[in-house]
Amino acid sequence: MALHEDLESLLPLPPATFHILVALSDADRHGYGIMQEVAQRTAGRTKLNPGTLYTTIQRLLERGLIVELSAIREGRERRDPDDDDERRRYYRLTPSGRRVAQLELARLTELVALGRRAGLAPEKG
Amino acid sequence: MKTTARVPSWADRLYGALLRTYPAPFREEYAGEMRAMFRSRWREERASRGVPGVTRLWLGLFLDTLRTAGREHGEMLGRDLRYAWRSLTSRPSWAFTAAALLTLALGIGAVTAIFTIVHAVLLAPLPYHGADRVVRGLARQLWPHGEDPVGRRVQLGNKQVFTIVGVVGDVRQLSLAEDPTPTMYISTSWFLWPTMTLVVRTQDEPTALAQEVRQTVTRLDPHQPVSDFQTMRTAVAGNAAAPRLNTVLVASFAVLALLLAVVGVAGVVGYGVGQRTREIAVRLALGSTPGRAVRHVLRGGLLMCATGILLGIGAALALGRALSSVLYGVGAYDPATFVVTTAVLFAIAILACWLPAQRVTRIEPSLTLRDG
Repeated sequence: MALHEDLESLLPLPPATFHILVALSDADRHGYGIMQEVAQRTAGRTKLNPGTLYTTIQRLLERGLIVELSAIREGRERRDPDDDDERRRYYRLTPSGRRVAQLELARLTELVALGRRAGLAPEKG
Repeated sequence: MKTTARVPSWADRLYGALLRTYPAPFREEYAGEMRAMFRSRWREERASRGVPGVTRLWLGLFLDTLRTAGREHGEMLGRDLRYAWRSLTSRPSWAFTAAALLTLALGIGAVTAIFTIVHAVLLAPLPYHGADRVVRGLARQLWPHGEDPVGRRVQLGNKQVFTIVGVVGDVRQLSLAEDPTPTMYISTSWFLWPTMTLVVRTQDEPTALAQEVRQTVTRLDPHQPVSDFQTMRTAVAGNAAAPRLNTVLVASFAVLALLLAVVGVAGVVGYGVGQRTREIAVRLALGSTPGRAVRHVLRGGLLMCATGILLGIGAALALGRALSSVLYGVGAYDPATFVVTTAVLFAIAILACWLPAQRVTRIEPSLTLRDG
């Protein structure tokens, strides 16, 4: 597992990486499920393409921020009865992954606060 | 949304072709899921937005593949190069690597410097402008304002006075390599040289003229022997023979230096394959293909070659600078020679790595791992 200071060095996260970590924050999902979750959370504005999604998943796996749930494959039908593809693999956020998402969120919050203090907050229509 | 429209086979094949642009290890791991995701996305876009949605999907997929496949290749190359560098610089192979690098750098440096000279001295135009205007040097030197010299009189250091009857172009009298010097031609009635050369211009075959020239000379002076009859072409070729021999010698040294460098590279790569037989056997046993194992070994060799070539360019610049101070008209940096030599050497270096890397394909994982 990565150390805390190593996690800091991963910031700022690319948007796709942050979206994937957020999508996995409340449930284990497969690649297509992550894409759907991101699209839903962003009201369809962000749709991850397969290349971006799986190259990012590969990096997150290498850094130990997510894990592949090979053990859960056996219980796949229970999770998603509509899933028609046996090859789909599920991914789960690790504590390190959650921590990185939190650090990125704190960084973004700080930036937003900075902008607000400067009077740059958009008018609410 | 659950949609059931069938993805046309051409679309499936086209996306399969796009997937082939990713590195093989990534493809083996994720291509199945990516293809499944593509089908789901295609059905979704077709059902919700029709043709415009599918068109936008394709555009996004092309750009996404271009960007991510390129990045994957870059990262894989970076990883392999870092690994190759570690294995090249680790004990006990570092001494071997250093020796090969030195050979390669010196070889490339020497070859480039030598070809810079060959190019500057023998192939490129003369290093001064308007070489044709250097002729008639003496007339111009004596009458710099362009007066007609014919009929004028000149006095030599020995007080002898001569009348000018004509002006001829300057001649490379002794050697093609020497610049024409200011020269006067004096009548043989005043100064008889033991031998004379008669130059005859003809539009016919020159050798057929030999008999006629001999007869004419004999008619004028029966006691005058005529020998060493040769065409102008033969005379010029004879004069160029020595420089040509020098060029051949110099080029031979360059080829020898190159050969030593190639042998060094091939030796190091071959040695590396020998040292890593067990590791390669494990890779093959774990499912790596021989082609991928060869590429893995090749990257290490190419990294070494690239380093050697960089060092060699540095050496060539240093050698070129040293040469430019002793050879007139030879610059320290000749871009054409540098580019051509480096490209040729890199191509040869790839071959020098590729041949020993083929040994990988002969490794039998089961035998190697059992005997090891």
